[in-house]
Amino acid sequence: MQFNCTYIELSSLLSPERARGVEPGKLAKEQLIEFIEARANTDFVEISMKEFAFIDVSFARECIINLIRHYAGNKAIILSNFQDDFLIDNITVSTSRFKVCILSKNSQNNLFMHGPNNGKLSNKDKEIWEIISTFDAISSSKLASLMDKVSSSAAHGKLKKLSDMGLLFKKRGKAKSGGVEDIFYPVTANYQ
Amino acid sequence: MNTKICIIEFSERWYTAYELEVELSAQFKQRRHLKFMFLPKTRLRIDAVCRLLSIVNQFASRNFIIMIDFSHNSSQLLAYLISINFFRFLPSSVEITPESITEIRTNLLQYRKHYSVIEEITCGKELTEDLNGLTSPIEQQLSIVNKENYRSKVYDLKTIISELIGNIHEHSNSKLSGYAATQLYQEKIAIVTICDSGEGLLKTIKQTIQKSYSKLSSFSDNELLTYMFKYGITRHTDQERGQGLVVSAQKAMRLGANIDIRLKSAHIHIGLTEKIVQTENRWSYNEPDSLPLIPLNGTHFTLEFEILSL
Repeated sequence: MQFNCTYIELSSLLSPERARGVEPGKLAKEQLIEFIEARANTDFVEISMKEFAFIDVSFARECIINLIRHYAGNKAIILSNFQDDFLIDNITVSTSRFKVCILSKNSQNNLFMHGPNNGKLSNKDKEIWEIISTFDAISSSKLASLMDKVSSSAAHGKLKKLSDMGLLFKKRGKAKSGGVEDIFYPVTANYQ
Repeated sequence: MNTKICIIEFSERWYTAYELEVELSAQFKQRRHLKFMFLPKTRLRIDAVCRLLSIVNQFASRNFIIMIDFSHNSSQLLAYLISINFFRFLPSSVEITPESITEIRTNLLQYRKHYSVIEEITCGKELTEDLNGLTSPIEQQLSIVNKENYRSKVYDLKTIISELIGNIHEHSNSKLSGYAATQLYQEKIAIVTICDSGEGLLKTIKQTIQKSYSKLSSFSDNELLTYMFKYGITRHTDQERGQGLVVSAQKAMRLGANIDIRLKSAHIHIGLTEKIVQTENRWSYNEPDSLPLIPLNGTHFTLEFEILSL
């Protein structure tokens, strides 16, 4: 399956000195949604944090975290070009409360996952992730077949949870039975 | 209220915000006229200056007649107050002695690298505060003593200031301004003060607690504040926010800061029991024994930390 990427510098929407507070965060999120909706075929949205020397927790929550939640399962948000590693701290600090993951990219194009439990997945989620991240795409029935004593509906719940965290795309596809089913695509495996 | 003047005299010593309030409360009498007198060698730490501003503004808004008498004071305190824009934020109704105070010229500006000017925080006017200006006195010195990590420490400090200022914008609900300022003393002790004259942290929190956190409804102010710093309490019914205080507390801990919080009827000091801290379990909470303080609206934070230990 072909996935499309788009790129935006956050500084094109707001001055880097203004990444503070609730209202500026909400406004920036709305502007990002407007930008993304204008590119409906986009699956990956890379948001460059270039020029941002400071982002406070409130802004990060209202803008970045809520954007990830808004598009979870539908589009993947990837943050890039952090001036310093610690700049991401004020973004990842909200991941546990909102049960989302942050994806960041370094200058070597490697993706990193942050959160939602102190920067990691819980042991249960990690177990599922380690199975499915080796696939480009996976269905509930396929996952169920790979696990002991897990029904298809239980597998669907586990995949849905990771999808809500922003780690999987969820798309409708054809099932072997001829009907339709949800197909989940790990974002890391499909990012180029 | 009779019309006699209540004179509050500040003696010749340094005052922190808390000490200033203890002095004020001890001498306070319910009068329509209030006169603050500063003796020749009275000195105010930056948190005391901002607390004085809040006190004067709150009394003036309740139609008290306020006089501030610097006529006995040496020009040092006056010059300092001028250089940090103290007089710019006093209500026009406040009488200042000597009257020619604004004509005093100061050469302190050249030493401004150790302190910020007072930043006004006005509800409804977000992002007008100079965050970089507030952190620069501490950043400059940190960059000398801790070249490798100073940027992350400054980031922590900026986060604390930004979140507390953001809280004021969102929750203060007051026409009176809040204030923020920083100063570095003896090139090693950083003081950060952020305050408002609004509804106060606990008033808005308690409204939420009754709806969503009934188990906390019997908590004392001290216990409630402790809980808030450890676990966070959102003031929003969607329970998706309210992390600002928790994050601020975590960052303050990383800076090794002691926190002093003045609420309407409480004063709480949160100190660190060890220099190197990892978890909030090491916070200690002390409510200093003192005279009862006069009620003061708003939430008044003061952080104090040694930059040499960072």
